[in-house]
Amino acid sequence: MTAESSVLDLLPLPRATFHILVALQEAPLHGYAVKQRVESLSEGVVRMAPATLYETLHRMKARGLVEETDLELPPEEDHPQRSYYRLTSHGRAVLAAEVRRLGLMVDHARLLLEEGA
Amino acid sequence: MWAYRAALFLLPRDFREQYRDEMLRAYARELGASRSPLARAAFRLRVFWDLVLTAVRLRVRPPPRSNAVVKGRKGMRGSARWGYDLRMALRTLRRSPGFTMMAIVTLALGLGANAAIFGAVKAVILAPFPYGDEDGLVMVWSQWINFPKTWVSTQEYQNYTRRARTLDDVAAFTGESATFTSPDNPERVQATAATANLFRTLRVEPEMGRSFTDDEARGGANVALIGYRLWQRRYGGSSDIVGRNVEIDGVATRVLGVLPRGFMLPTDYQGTTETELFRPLWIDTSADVQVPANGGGHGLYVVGRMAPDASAAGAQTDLSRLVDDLTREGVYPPEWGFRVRVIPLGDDVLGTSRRALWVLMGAVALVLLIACGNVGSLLLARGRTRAREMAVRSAMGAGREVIVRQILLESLLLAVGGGAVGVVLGMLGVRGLLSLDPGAVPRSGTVGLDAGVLAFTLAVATATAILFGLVPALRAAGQADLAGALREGRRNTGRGGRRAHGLMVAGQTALAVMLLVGAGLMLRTFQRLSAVDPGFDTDGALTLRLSLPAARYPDVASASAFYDRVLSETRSLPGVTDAAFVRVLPLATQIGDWGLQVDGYTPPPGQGTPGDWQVVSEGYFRTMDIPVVRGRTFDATDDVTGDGLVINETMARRYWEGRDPLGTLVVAMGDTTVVMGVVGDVTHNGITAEIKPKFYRLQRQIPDGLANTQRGMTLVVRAGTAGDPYQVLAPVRDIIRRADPSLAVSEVQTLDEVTAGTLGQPQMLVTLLGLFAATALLLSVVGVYGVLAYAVTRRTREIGVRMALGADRRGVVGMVVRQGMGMASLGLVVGLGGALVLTRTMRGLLYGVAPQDPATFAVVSGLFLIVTFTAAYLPARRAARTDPVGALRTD
Repeated sequence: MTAESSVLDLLPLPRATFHILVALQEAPLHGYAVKQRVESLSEGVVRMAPATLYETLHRMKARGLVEETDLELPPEEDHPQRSYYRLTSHGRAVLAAEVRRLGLMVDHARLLLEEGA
Repeated sequence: MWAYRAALFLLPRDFREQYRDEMLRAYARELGASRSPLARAAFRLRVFWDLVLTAVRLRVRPPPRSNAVVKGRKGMRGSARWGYDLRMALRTLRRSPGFTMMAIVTLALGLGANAAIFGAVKAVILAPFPYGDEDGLVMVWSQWINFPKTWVSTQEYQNYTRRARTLDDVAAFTGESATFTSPDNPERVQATAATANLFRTLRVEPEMGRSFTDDEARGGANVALIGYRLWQRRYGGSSDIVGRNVEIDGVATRVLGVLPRGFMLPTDYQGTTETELFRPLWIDTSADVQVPANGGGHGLYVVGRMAPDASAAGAQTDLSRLVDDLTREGVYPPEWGFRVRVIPLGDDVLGTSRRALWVLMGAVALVLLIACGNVGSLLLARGRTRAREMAVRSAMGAGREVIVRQILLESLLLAVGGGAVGVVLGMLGVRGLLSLDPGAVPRSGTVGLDAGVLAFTLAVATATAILFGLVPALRAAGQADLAGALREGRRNTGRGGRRAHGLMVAGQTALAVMLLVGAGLMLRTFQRLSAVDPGFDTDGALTLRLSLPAARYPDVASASAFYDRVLSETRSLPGVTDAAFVRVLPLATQIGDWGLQVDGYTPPPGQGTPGDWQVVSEGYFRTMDIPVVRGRTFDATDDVTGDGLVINETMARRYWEGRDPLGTLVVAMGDTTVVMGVVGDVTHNGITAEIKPKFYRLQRQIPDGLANTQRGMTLVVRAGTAGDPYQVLAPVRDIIRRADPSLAVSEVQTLDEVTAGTLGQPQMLVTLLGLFAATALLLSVVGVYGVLAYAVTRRTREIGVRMALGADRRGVVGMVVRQGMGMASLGLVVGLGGALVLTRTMRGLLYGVAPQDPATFAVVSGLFLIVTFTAAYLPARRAARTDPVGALRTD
């Protein structure tokens, strides 16, 4: 199976996965920061409870979409031993494919709307 | 907090241990951020609910352990996924009933033809013979100058039995007929006299009772075995038939046993009647026997069982050496050119039918390929209109192999549907065709639908589905990945698709051309055969066969009395213009020859003076409308003391070489006779068989020593030109019954039926090949039309632009027609080339026409171009009607 089709096989992405990928494509973040970033990017609309957050990260790690970094980042507050998550190239490709897919869906829907009009 | 900590135990252990601390911290921070008690309660509710759902998800579908990339799609696996895909494919096909119907009908034509012909191939060629180890059996024939395959003499049989090293067992049998002479139910059946080792040689055990022994054969015991069908028909399958005495040809005969169901003699496969009575034949093989100077009588069929390590070629060498030895020892004069032919039993029985069926099998394979091409074209065209659907489905997350799988599944459903319809149609068709003439192909009676045919059809259908479905499926999957497919979906796809489509149509037309050429050659063959003049008038004549038992008709005079009475009463029937008896009816029964001595003629070295021998009543030539060329034929003035001989033109030409044959002395059948007349030639052993010298003797002038030669006769009744000859059958039967109530009548047929029978195989071939070629032409024309019509629809805009720019309608028509004729011409050239190669396999089935017959090739090309032009013109005309303004507005 080619890398490309394995990308296609993951689509469409679950909602949480999509938002986490978007949040992580700027910089590596630790778990809770991911949740905060997703919330702020969505203006507080998308909120993830802890169980879903960590389950999703866990699954994304297993699929090779994200990886834990061994970056030596300055300790934040009083919890120095956190795991940081970083987008893999595969994760980036999957995100791009999903964005393209959503775009096609929108184009398709738009065409239909225009035809109806 | 403690509650959440406790609830974490719902999670799987390894997950919990990995994330517990972080989850608790996140929980604490979130909870702390909530100001009001109400918000805190809502938060708790949400978080706990989320935890429960997550726990369930993680346990139901645990994440993979490694970082390995997960293959396959979510959820469904194995049979569930196939079930889903199957429902999906069915729904897709139901949504476009027009396409589905078209595809199924097309495939049904192709698969049905294949099922039918395979059914015939299986029954005729592949089915085993009713003998043990048939591969070890060979038929042995004699060959002389001018006689490529003829009977074996008693002396030859004795020599083979005694001296052949490659044959373990050699059995001989004759072909004759016999009558069950009970007054209430006389019945004439085909019979044989066989050496006692026949059944051992064939490895056949009687169903009941036993076979006859050498002692019974030697002692001339009146014993017999009967066939299974006769046993059922005449004796109701009763088991006490064994040991009973029945009257056969006026002689009490003890029934020793019954042969198994389906048993037939090797020679029975050539005709429609099978041997049902088996009586012993004694040939002493204990001592070497000198072959008499005239070569002896040749009247035996011989079948041999090869030694375990022998081959048919080896047996041929062995027997040839034997014959050469005998020639060297002076037993056979070298100038006879005597040879022996050893033919494997299967080859001997099936003859040209095997080749004919393989040709038909090839023809139906071509039809199926064309049908595949058509359905593939349909799928390709449909694939283009479905490009958008495919892009959307891929956008919705369908992987490439999902799309390939689904289109292949649709193809498979179409093929199986087509196969189911086709198998039924095919079987009905082949039954109908074979019922027209059951004698055309040996063993065709057992052709039918069975598990083997069904399995074959299913296998072919599956292969077919992959053949026509794979290219469209891969193409669709390719399109699905193109992001741009969506925006282009409404208009056009690549030029490559159109070229592939065009090549496919060209391929189809090439196949159709090959079939058309094959059918054309067969049609010419059939025309040539039908045009052969048999030398007698076949219209409005009924024939039937009689056999007088020696017990009641011991001499020629007693038989003459019977024949004269039947003839005079028959001739006086209303509607009957003439009637006569003949020993063997032309084209119905093979005729053998008898050595002659012609006064003033010395045969060249290596050749004798043979003549096909015929015994007739007076009035035979008048009744058959055989012209008298010189002198006169037999009439009422020729009494028993006469010595007249009538010969055919070929004999006059060959043995008199320009001299006048009239009045010449000829020793024929032991008597010195005088040639009194020459008659026209008549084809006898087949419509294309070489016409050999033939002589006719009058029945009542046959010497009593040869009384056997005039006991079996065929009555020919000329019933005028109007009406059905069968109308005279009942009164003629009455006449025969009054003359001898114990006589049975057999082989009732008209002369037209007799001649048509000899055309059976070519007729079947021309009908079937014609049918397949017409189907192929239709399918390929539909293919050409479909591609062009589709191209025109898709190019509406382009054509509109051209016309807006000033192209006239004629130019547009020309453009489309050129495209169509381009495809067709390519196909025609390739097809004619292929036909040149393929029609070579038809050599041996053709008559009077070469496999490369230029006229056939020319006519096929012309026909083909006209038909494809029509198919191309229709869409072209539609294209020319395009309204430029409207076309530009589309989209």
